[in-house]
Amino acid sequence: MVEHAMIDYYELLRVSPEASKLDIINAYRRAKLTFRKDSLAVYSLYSEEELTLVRHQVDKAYAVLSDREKRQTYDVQQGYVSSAGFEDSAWLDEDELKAEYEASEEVSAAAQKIADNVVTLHPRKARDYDPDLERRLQTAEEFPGVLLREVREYRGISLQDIAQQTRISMGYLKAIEVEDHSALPAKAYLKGYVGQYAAEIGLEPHRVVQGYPPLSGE
Amino acid sequence: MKVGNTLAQPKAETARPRIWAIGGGKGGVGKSFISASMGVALAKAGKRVVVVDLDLGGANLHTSLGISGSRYTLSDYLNGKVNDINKVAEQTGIERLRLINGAADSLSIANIQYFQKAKLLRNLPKIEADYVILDLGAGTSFNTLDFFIEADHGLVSVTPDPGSVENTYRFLKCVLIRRLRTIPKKARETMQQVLTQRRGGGKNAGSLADFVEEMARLKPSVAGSLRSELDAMKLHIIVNQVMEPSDTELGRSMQMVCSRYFGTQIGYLGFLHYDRLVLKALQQRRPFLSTFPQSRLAIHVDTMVASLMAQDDT
Repeated sequence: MVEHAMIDYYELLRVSPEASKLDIINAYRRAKLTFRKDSLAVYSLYSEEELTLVRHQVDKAYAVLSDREKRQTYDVQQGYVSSAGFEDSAWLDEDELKAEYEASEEVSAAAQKIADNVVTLHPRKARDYDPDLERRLQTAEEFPGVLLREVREYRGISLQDIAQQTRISMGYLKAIEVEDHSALPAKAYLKGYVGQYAAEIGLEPHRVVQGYPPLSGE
Repeated sequence: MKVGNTLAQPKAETARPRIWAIGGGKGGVGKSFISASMGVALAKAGKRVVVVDLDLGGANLHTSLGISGSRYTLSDYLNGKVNDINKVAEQTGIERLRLINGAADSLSIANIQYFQKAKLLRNLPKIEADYVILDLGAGTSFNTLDFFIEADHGLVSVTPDPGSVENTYRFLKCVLIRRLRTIPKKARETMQQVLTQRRGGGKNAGSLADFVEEMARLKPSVAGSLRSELDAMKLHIIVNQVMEPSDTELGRSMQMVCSRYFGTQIGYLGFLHYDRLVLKALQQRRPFLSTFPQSRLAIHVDTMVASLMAQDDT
């Protein structure tokens, strides 16, 4: 087994030792996506246990590289920087960073599990089979946001999953579920978004688009 | 048509063509489509191009180019009926683009002999063109691997399904190991030793990266040549038939996995959308890129070709 001290965190995340904090966040998200459970990109190469190990290493790398002090110590340890002249330019303005954090829900949301700045992704939990809801879906003509949300939760799909699959922003997805007219996009876009959302939760897009109240009004 | 000046006058050697090979473990991932399209894109960019159908026994690159038959095929050259490889390269109806057709009725074409392969490998660089594109068959037979290894750039097409991903990794593994075949014999013996030892250890096969690392420990000199062989390979991934937006992540993710698993850098050239117009163009027997030059696909192919050309120029 490879010792942890031997793993180069920069190499693991595929970033250069001069990478900015933003680069590291992006690289970390990519790594999490790449080595997630059921990831297509590792198919046939890694077993489940190996994947868990890799994810663990990735988390560890991020825990160090995303923390200013820990990274500094690490750089000195690994000989990337001499302890005397630590180059500060890689660090972004705190405000910019904050904005970036807020933009990436999955990073900020579940950040507290392993260490205080490491992410674990939510496992899906599907609810038990619900014949009543299934029957309602068969006949439903109206698909208000609350129903969409109910179906989504019933299927055990998180909003993040949908955002990841469809590249629709979390803001819009949330607005679709609460039918927040002020936050919804223009109708032409909304139509497409609602359709994609519906497809993700296993409903027929055209039925949902037709039955979604903010689209049918006026 | 100018074929006249091949009469072996040892004139100032013209630059040899750049060779790009398109392979990938699985069938139906668009190798022929990509070969044909890149050929058209290069020709459009003003280069003289020859596309070679090396999917021997399953050749249909000509179909992707909208050509039904040709006077000469590759087997005419391999059998010695035609003795200049440039003579079997036929016009495609697209300016500057020629094709060496692999379709042939000979039964043995799928299993070409070693000397035929060697002859072909020796003569591919003598094709009079700026670029030669090799459309390889599916699978990991030595014939396929050897053409892939000899190319300046090796492109692998992968579609976002597990079967294709699995075969792509298998193909890359075979390519890299076959490539290492060319290291000195002594080193190869050591390599074999390490590989068998690993297997005996009860671990699962182990990654190539681990292997190279272990070699570095056992025999630093060998590891050096291993590394330089691996680094000399210019491999690129193309994600083809993308349907979902999330599929576009596959390329970068596979790149990450490759650098970890194979310990070698693999380029990611870009992705191509799934487009039913491709099928339509095929049914109409017309090359896609020249039929739909403004399509999203065509633009992506143009971009890929441009970025590969830029890599060659530096």
